[in-house]
Formats: sequence, C-alpha cells, structure tokens
Amino acid sequence: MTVNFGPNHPSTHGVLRLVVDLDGEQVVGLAAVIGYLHTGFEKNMEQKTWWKAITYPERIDYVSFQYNELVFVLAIEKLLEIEVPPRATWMRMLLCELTRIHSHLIWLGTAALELGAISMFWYCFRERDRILDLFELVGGTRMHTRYFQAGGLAEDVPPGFFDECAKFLDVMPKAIDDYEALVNRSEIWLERTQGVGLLSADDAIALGQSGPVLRASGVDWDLRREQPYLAYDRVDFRVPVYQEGDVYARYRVRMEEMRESVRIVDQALRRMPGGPWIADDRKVVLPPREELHTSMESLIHHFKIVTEGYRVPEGEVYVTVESPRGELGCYVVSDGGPKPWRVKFRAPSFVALEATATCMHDALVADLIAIVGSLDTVMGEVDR
Amino acid sequence: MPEAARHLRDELGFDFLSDIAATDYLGWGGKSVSGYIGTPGGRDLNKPGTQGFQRLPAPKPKRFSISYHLLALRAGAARARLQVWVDDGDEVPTVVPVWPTADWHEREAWDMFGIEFSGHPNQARILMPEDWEGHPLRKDYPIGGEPVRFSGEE
Repeated sequence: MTVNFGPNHPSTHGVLRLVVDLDGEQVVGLAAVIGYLHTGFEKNMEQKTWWKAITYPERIDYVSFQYNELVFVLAIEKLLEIEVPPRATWMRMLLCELTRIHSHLIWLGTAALELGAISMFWYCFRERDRILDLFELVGGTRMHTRYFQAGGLAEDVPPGFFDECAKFLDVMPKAIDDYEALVNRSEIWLERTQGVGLLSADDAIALGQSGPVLRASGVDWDLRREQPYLAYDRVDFRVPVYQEGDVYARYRVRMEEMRESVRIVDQALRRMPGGPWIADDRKVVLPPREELHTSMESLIHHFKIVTEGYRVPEGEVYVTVESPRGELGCYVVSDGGPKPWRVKFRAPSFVALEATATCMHDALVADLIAIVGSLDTVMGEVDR
Repeated sequence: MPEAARHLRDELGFDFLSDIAATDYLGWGGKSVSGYIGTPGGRDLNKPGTQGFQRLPAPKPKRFSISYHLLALRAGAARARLQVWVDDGDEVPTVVPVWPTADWHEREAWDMFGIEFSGHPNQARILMPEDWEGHPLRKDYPIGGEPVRFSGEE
C-alpha cells in the first residue's frame, strides 16, 4: 500500500511529503518529495548588492539563522581580505553558540512532542524564549537579527547584554538536567528511540551526513575542532560521539552539545576582548554616524555604500562552518561588482533528508516520525 | 571525469562530498566592473589604482561550471574543488557511484540549470514541480518570469 505522508502533517517540520510504500506496518520503500518551500533565495541574492543580500541567508534556515548569516559574511570577508577585530570574532562565536542551543531546543521540543512528550515542548520553548530575549538585546529583533556585517558587527554590544547572558548561563545547565530527567528514564522515550533509524558510519560518510547525525554514528568529526574558524581554537570544548547510530544516540549528542555550548559561551563571556567591533575600512564599512555631519569624505563613503554597495574582488570561495545541523557551506562567485554573481548554500538539512530512506530500512511506520524528527531537518533550508 | 573522482576518493582520501555547485556564466565579462584589487596582504587604500579601476573579469572557458567541493575526513580537514566546464546541452558523467550523496545535488543542478548528468539513476526535478518549464537559476531566466494565471479581467 502506498501512503502519502504530508505535505501538511504536523510532524514534517515544515512542508515535506514522503511517499511511503507499506507492507502492513513495515516501511518497504520511501521517496521524499521536497520543494514546497522553494522561494529562490539564491536567485534573489544575485539581484541584491552584497550588503543587502546578507538578510537573505538568515531566512533560509530560520531556526539557526545566525549560522547562515555567519557563513555568508565569512565568504564575503574572505574575498575582501578584510580583517575582523577580535571583539567581533568572539561575539560572533558567542551568539552562534547561543543559536546552537536555540536550535537544539527547538529540535528537542518538537521531536519529543511528536513522540508524545508534550511537556518537553513547553520547557524547551521557555528557555528558547530567553535566548530570543538576548538576540533582541543585540539586534533589536528576536529572530533574523542581521547583526553580522562584513567586517564585524553592525553595532557594539549593548550595555547589560553580558549580565543578561550570564544570568541565562546560570539557568541553562539546570534546565538541561530537567529535560534529561523528563525523558532519560522514560520507558516510552527509550522504546521509541533506541535501535531505531540505524545509520552506520560508512553509510553516513557516503551519504554526506554531518553534524550530530554523523557524530551519533561514531565518526569523531567536528569542523569547530578540525578546521577552527572564529576563535574556536582558543576555547576548550569536547566533541560528543556515540557509536550506536540510532535516534537515541542523536538525542544524546545534541544534549551534550548544548552543555558544551554553554561552556563555550561562558568562556567567551569571561574572555570577551574590548576594542572596536567592526573593521576600519571605509570602502566596505559604513562610517560612524556622527562623522557624516562634519566630514565630506565620510558622507561620500556613506552615500556610495548605501546607493551602490561595496564591491567585492573577483573570485570564488567556498566557506564552511559547523552549524547545529552539520556542515553548512557557502559557495560564492564574484565578478568584482557590487552584486554576487552566484551564491550557493550547502544545506545540511537537504543532505540529511537524502539519508531518510537509508535510515528507514526495516522500520515501522510509527518509527518514521521518530526518524524524520531525529535528522533535524528544517524545510526552509532544504528547499531554499 | 569518473576516473578523476575515483582517484580523489581512493588515492587522495577525499571521502566526503560536501557540495556540488553549478554556476551559469552567461553574460560574464559583458561589461567591465570597477573593483578593488585585493592582495594577499590586504589592500592599501591610499595607493592609486586600488579602487575605481575599470576592468573586465577574466573570461571563463565555457558557459557552465560545476564545482564539486570535497573534504577529507582526517586530521587537517583538507578540502579540494573539482571543477568541470560544460556548454549548454553537454552531458556530465554522474558521480553517484563514487559519492552516493551526489544524487540529490545532481538533481538540483539539473533542476536549476538544466545540466544533464549521464548515468544518473533518477534524473528528475527536485525543487521545482515536475511540469515546470525552464531552469530558474540560469542567467537568462527572468526574475518574476512566472506567467500570471488569473487577471482582473477574467
């Protein structure tokens, strides 16, 4: 029997259609139909100047928006050969780790909700809201902050942010204890997750899996450690790895990653450097507002950047970061003009969804929900 | 091309295909752009000729490029880019037997650019509807080019 699962189903994390061939309750075949959220981000970005295009990547993956913004900004900076001041680098790392916690919280809340643990959803969204409060402090908006600029940050960190952040760090480890207390010994949770959705290490690599899915299959790989960017080589953190390759292992990896992220944020808070938050390069960075009234040069620079946009040297780069979902890549081609010639995102969710059919081997239809949930796909990022 | 892919995977250890990115260079170099000249040491903004200098971007060999971004899962995280150039209508041998993850990436390149991959197990559209006409990320595909189905008069 062939059954349509989705496109509008509460547990598809967006608009995803799975065409499932069933033999009784056994899943014997599966095809994912995607593209319902395709909005042509990459095409649109080709029509915008570089600095206007920065707002687009955030909306691609609306759960870990800071990472998409970061990877695009890093690509521009690599082409521009611009040096980012340390305060901006550390602040980016801090915010990205908060985003990782935010993303994992949404994953945990929704994945548990789908397996019947309703209260988990409320607890996770309670802490998630506190993270959004922090984002609101720095960027003025709760999501899609557009706080990263080519060259650094849009503005300096507002007063009081570090205190609020420290308060959040006091709460978060206890909250993670609470989540684990809720499900770790729950018979239903263990039955539904252990030994379900198996993916071997070889399959995971061949299928291009990355992030928590890869680490839950026993591959010790994290770009933050293997290919340090930002200031990851100067902080101390652990990379959790589990051998089982099932849904439960993916849950464990994400829980421990949240704890490690709290540690990284803590270190970033303690060691946050002072000084400028954006590079001093008038051809790329807007001049300080107060200078516009007194300096003709600044006014010209401001006018040129706003109307025409800055120009990025000709070339092509591929930049990758470790997002909450794994290897997030951005391929950028510039012809030397004020607009990108081509922007392509390597979306980890897109690749994760490709592995669904392999994970679904010998699964029951009820496991399908647990497995699709455990891959942590964000459909906006899959379809772009 | 498949030999190069196999060589990269088996001899050089690039076991992880990160991404396949196609690019359309139609109209590339059609007009000169004024850009900064970047140097590895950064840019000296006070030096004349480092900005506002009109020049044409370097020409490309063919219309489309397909970039395979590879990663070696070992210490050092080596990365490589394998680039193939094709014209409209040319076929590229598939790399699905080498890196199974290429399946969806190649389907996306077909869907968005109309580049055919010979030997691909399921060369179908992936993001656009099956009956869609045209390939949206081509440079000659207009923005807002979707026909309006209903208008005020109807």
